[in-house]
Amino acid sequence: MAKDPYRYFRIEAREIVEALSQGILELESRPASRDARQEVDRLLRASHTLKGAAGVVGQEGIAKLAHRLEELLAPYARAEDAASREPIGALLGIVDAVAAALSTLGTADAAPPLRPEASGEPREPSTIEKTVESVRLDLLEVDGVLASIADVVARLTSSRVASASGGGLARAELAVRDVEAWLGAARRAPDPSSLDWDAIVGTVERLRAELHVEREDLAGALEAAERRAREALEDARRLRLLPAETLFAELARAARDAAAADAGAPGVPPRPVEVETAGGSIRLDARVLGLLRDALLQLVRNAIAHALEPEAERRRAGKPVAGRIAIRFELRGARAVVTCRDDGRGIDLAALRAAVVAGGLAEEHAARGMDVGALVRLGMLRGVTTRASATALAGRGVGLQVVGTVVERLRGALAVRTEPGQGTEFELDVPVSMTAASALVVEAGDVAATIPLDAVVRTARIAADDVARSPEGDAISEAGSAVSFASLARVLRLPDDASVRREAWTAVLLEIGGARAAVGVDRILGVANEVVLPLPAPLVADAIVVGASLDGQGDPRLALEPRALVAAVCRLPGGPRADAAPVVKSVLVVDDSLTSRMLERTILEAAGYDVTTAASAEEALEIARGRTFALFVVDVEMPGMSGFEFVALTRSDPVLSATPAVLVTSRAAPEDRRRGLEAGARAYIVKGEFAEGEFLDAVRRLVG
Amino acid sequence: MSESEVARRVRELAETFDRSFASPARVREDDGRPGLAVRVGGDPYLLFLEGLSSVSRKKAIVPLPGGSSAQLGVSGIRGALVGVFSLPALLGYDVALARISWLAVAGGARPVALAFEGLDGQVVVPPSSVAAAPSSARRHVSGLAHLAGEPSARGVLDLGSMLARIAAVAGGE
Repeated sequence: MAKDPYRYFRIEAREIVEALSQGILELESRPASRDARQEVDRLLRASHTLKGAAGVVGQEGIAKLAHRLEELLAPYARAEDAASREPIGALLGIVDAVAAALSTLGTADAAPPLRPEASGEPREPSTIEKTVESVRLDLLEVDGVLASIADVVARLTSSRVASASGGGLARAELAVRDVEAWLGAARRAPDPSSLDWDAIVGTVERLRAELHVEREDLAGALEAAERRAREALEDARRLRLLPAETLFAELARAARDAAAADAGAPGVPPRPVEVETAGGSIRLDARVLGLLRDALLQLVRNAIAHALEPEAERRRAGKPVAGRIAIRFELRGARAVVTCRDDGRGIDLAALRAAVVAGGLAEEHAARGMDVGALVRLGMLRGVTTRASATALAGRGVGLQVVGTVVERLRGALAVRTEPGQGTEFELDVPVSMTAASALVVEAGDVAATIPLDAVVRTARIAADDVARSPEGDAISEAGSAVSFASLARVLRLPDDASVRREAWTAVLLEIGGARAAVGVDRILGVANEVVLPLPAPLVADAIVVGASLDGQGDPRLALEPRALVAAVCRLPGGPRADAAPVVKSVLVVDDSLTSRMLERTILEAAGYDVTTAASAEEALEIARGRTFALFVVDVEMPGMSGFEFVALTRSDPVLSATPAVLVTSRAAPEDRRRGLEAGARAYIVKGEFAEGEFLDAVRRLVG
Repeated sequence: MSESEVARRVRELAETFDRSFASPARVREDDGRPGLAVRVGGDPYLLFLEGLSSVSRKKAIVPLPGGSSAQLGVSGIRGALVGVFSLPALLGYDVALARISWLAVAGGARPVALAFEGLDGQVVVPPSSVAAAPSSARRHVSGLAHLAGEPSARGVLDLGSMLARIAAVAGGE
């Protein structure tokens, strides 16, 4: 197969065409600003580069187009030349002509058209296959793949693998030869008993041990190499992922072209339309993005043809003159959600119903019961239109069919919301097997997690006192208003949530779909653009966790879904108050009677105390010196040191005296009671009168 | 032991030794099935190697909100995400995560890791040493293996039954 002589020119020229298209649209939106002057300079440089590159590969036609573009751009650089400027449409027409020439480059002999067509006729959507033939690669990502592969190679040639395959296994082989030689000698030996069996057995044992070590080393090295090879594979797959912003320039251009075409008469300036975009950093598989592009082009054209009112009508309705189309990409777990919202007149439901009925798609009574979503979805089956006469842009009903085909091919869903006079929103929701988005990497407890950066407003260090506690839910103050707050550990239901007694958090303020909340994390590990893999079956998780990525060590980082996260934080009731933290109090029970020990232990544990027991005062002293207790519960009569002595001794100890002591005894005489209290006991409970309630009351009085 | 017997034994040893290097590991049915002698909830069990793809020391297990009590979380094993489930919990024991030390990965195309506390070793179990499990046996125990030198029998774990249970619980049963 002949080498493609235009391979690199095609890549460069396509990038220049895209930049030119975007820059010219920018120029149209801000013709008189200082930025515009810089934009013109950039455009002139790009045109010049294109002219030079085309000349190098002998594409004189494209070089002439680039030269013509330079001529048309020049008056835009100087205010005094404003009168001699050609309309923006002419500039765009030249860019289109270059794009058309590039598309046939090397595949046909047809020369590119030298005269641009500036009719404003919308270009037909190219087929999906055509859009994903090639993708532009971020050099950093290519470097990442190369680094991963280099790492695999390094691991496979590492000292561990080398020593196993070289040194260790060679030694094992030598040992086997020794054994072979001995066994050969044994076969020939007239007297087998003269053989050195200890040496043979010893060698075999060493051999086995050596092989074991080598096997473990080799397995470890190979496992690490396998892990890195998988990572390299993921990195390579990621190259198929394209940022959504790749489409934005084309969508803006389509909106302009559609507005120009809808203007009717040639030469009439196009209606002003603003295209707002969001979520451009979200990366999707090139095939998915290609299909979404086709659907979005149709939705944008539909919005201009059907939804956005003429200027006069918009003025009467009190709307800005420029119609607004907002396109947003968003990841919701393993699904990509793309919305296209306009601020036009809304869908004429009566007209749509009539069109559906007229098209034979539903009976009149059935159509009456359908909402806008159902009617639109039905309309997708067979093109329906509410427009009385078809124009170049719309009215043939083809647009909806294209959207329907895309949704079907991506196994997605379409939702439609419309409000008369306010606008319409189309929401395409499609599953994606692999996504990547810039994400904040945070840590809560031992768990690392990622939160899409699109949903992060900001992060801030907050003290425990900054959290307003209430039974309905905790909150922090953000720009004067209360925002629901919870620790991420609590939201993730992590065991041993240490956040209760924390003094400070790093709060991550989230906002998505108009809802806000803040989560407290232990620390922020950085920002990463990671490939999120769905959780494999049969794992089950709350909607907050939609998948995980793998960190440098191959350990999972949970991928959090911001909508579900915000909803979960807002739903949580107030967390435990720091000052009411359930601190478990420790009690040391000292009694030589097993029954008494166990009875007291049972009562205390049932009341929530942590109980340690000792069968003698001596044992108790030893235990008490090893750790701190909130209370000593001590029997009086014990072999060896008595309870009185234990209490007196601990009262005179500078450390142990901090722990109050209670005496529990069968001696009810007043002098015993007095003696106990004199020794320093804080309470004296008589076993004969032993009542659970009284016992616990005494304990609670002393330690809470 | 006569001279010829010694020579024969030595020859057998040498041949066995050579064979073990020359041919891939294989076990004849009548020699028994290879298995792992494991500790679950402090008790001895046996897990046959068939159906397992790897056994490794415990890696970081990241807990997930939700799921059954047997679901411990997700681990990264050889560059892939793998669900980790507690063998003790599947058998009805209550064992703290901190005591878990080993992961046995099962399940082929959709791997599942089963976590347990101790690995006593690798054994070859002759068919004759496996008896039917008594009716009082814990769930997922399909038989009792009497291994040479061990005072008590090991419960033979039914991998298929455990994987089916995990899948059923995940499916909402």
